[in-house]
Amino acid sequence: MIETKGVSKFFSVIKEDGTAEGFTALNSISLHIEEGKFVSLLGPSGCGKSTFLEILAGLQAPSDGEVWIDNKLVLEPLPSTRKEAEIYRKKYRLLSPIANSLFHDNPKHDIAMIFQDYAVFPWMTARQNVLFALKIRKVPKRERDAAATYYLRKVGLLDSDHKYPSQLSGGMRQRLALARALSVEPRIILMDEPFAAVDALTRERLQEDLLRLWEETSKTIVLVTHDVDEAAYLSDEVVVFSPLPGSIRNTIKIDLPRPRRRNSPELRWIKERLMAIHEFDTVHEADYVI
Amino acid sequence: MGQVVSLVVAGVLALAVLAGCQGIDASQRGVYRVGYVDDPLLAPLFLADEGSRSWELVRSGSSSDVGYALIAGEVNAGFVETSRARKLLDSQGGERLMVAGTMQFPYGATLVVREGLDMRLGDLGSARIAVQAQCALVRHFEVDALRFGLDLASLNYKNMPFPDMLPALEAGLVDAILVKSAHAALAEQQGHSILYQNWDVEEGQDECCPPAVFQTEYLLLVDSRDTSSASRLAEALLNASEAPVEELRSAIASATGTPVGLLENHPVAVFTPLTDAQRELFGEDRCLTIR
Amino acid sequence: MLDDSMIRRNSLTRRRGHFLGVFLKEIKAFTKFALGNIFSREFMTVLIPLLIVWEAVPRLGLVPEALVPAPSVVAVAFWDVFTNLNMAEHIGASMLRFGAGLLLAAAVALPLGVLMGWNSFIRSHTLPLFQLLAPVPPPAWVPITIILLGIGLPMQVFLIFLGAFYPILFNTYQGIKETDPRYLASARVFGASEFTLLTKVYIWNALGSVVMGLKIGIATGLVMMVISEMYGGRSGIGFLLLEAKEFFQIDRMVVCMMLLGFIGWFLIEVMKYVESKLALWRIGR
Repeated sequence: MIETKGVSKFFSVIKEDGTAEGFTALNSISLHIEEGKFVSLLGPSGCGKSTFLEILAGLQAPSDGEVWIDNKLVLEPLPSTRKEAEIYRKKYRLLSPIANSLFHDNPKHDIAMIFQDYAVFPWMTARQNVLFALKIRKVPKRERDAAATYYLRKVGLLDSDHKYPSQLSGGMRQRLALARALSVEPRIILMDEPFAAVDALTRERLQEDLLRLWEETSKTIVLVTHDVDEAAYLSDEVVVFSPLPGSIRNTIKIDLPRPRRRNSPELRWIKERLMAIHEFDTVHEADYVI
Repeated sequence: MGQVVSLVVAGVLALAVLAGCQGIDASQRGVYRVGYVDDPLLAPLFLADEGSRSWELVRSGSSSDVGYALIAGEVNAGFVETSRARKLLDSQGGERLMVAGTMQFPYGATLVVREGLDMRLGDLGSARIAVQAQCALVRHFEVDALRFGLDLASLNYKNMPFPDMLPALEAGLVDAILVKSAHAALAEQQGHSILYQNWDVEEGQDECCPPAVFQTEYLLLVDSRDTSSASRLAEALLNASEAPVEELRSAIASATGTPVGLLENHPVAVFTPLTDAQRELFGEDRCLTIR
Repeated sequence: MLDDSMIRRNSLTRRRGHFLGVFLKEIKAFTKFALGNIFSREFMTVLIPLLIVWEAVPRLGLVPEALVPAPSVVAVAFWDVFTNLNMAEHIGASMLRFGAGLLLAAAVALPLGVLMGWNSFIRSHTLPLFQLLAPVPPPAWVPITIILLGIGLPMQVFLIFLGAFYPILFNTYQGIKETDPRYLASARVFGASEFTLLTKVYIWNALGSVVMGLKIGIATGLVMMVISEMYGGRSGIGFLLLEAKEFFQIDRMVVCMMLLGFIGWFLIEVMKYVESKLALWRIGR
């Protein structure tokens, strides 16, 4: 179960003339995501949802607010006063706050993340990539191979498990990232526009694979996307983000049973609602939209 | 097509090499040029240079550089250190070079100790002494050592060739070195002290004390195409060698910057014509008769 | 009758034989890799005319024959050096020194570069020191090294170490620093410790830079090897080179130059081959 309380993120940008300008990426996001739900974070490109996902994963610290995953705090917020900044800097002098411990592989929370550009290690074969994740999660050696085989087969990559990522297509690499994330059997999976760089046909197939896997395992999935169709088709709940500064515009629950038909009228109606919210934002609120 | 291009390239390269290597031969120039190095052992040259002269001195960093200048024709005559000069005479570039005379310096077996080490001969027992193995020097030294009551078996020899000895002394690898006096003079310049000297060394049959040239520090090599200028040079050198020692020493001091006080402990080198033994060694046809 | 010990011995010899087979295959592949470029038809059309010109020019007296030996003379001198001067021993001595200096440089610079690239705290405390010392050209270190270490093997190994150290350090540090943060992020989310990150992510990502640093380090280390041999010790190719120069044997000098060139070329080719083997994953798309 994921709980965020007033999470904000601002950056300060030094302009050419030397003055600093504040730039708010996220503005007080409070969300509650229940276990076993499939939630999409929808918004135009550049509205801070990727930043939000990284904060959830513990890869960035929020400037303000807290993130609790399974009742454990993810990262303490960045210091706001000078005194706090001193203490913060002293504390994280050697090891940065987002790092895990020095010698022990130890995930802080039971999450896995899939990135937009896959981030599979090119110097390891497909199988080695999956084995790497399993090793970090301290799966005993005897079981690693079997688990890797199982998950590679699930995503359909068992025949190419000895190939390097440079020898795989984009869709296959994303499937590999999926297999790697699933193999550690996390309770929560975070995905950052995972199907953005894939062609439409592959995307549909991957979406269906994802749904199938989710239904079999009842994990919590948080998917960040800018594709309204995708959000509507896949999720139980769609959280709509506004453009910069990112905040929650609205939350729409989708109670349609699965399997959903992509062209069903209910789905189309939801899509229209989502598009309308989106357009309102674009016309009235945004400073600029890419 | 490619082959034509490569031939053209080769031709251009050849022309470039040609152009670069054709220097003006020194013999075509007006002045007679003499190559030398900054060594106190060339005392007669420095003294001769102070008077009226018909030549020009050209300084080099090392005596092999003087040799290369001779090969290339950049100087007409030059002083080259003995072993190198002999190799030069035998090499392909030195065909037109002849020996006009030698710089002689008394041999003198010398034991030099490192500066700061206050040692007497009797204290030598534990010191590390650098020697060149199987050299006549060692035999002479041991004879004297016995006379001074040293126990030969306790002497701690370290074998190394002469060029390595002074740097080893400086670095502290050895405490004393056993060298001929020419090297000793150099060591004294660096501040080390002479413990013992024996001037009665006779020429031997080994490398460090070779027959005929064991007291020869430099050979005067001249271009055989201009023997008259060479003879004039040699005359002036012979005259300078007969000058009083103080004049020679002050000539060294002004030419090389060595303080006169340091030179007073040592003999000076003299320029001498070739001896019969030397003529036989180099070959009659490579020797120039000057007197 | 096959008993256990026979089976074990058989499998051991089979494994040894297997390794030998792999080793020989690698040698063959390496030879093709290294020499294929040089003995190509295209280069022959340039090389052979050049050799002919080199042979002709001294013989025709266009340049002084004493100063520019023809290839035939050099070949004779090579044979002379090989048989009379214990060329193999000198090469061995040189390679021993060079190997020691290079190994020392790698042993110090690689871990240091990794640590500096990984952690900004370490980097901010150590990098300025190296940035101050590195611009001193290695040959300028010779006098002070001789004063401190005397002449002999320690001085030579130290000089070679100095030559090879900075390229390896800086290239390793750059390579590690420029590791794509995406890989780090994805490994961290899985829970990788910093140590796992170092060994499984940083180092692999930086491998290209490390090999390049090693190549440059080999080149500068060789330079320092020649210089150090001219200053002390009486063995090695650099020493032969100096002796040949001092005693007016230019043909031998050219032989030494060619030997040094060959050694340098060979070592770099080995590194390039290793790099091509390691970078397998880059080939493909």
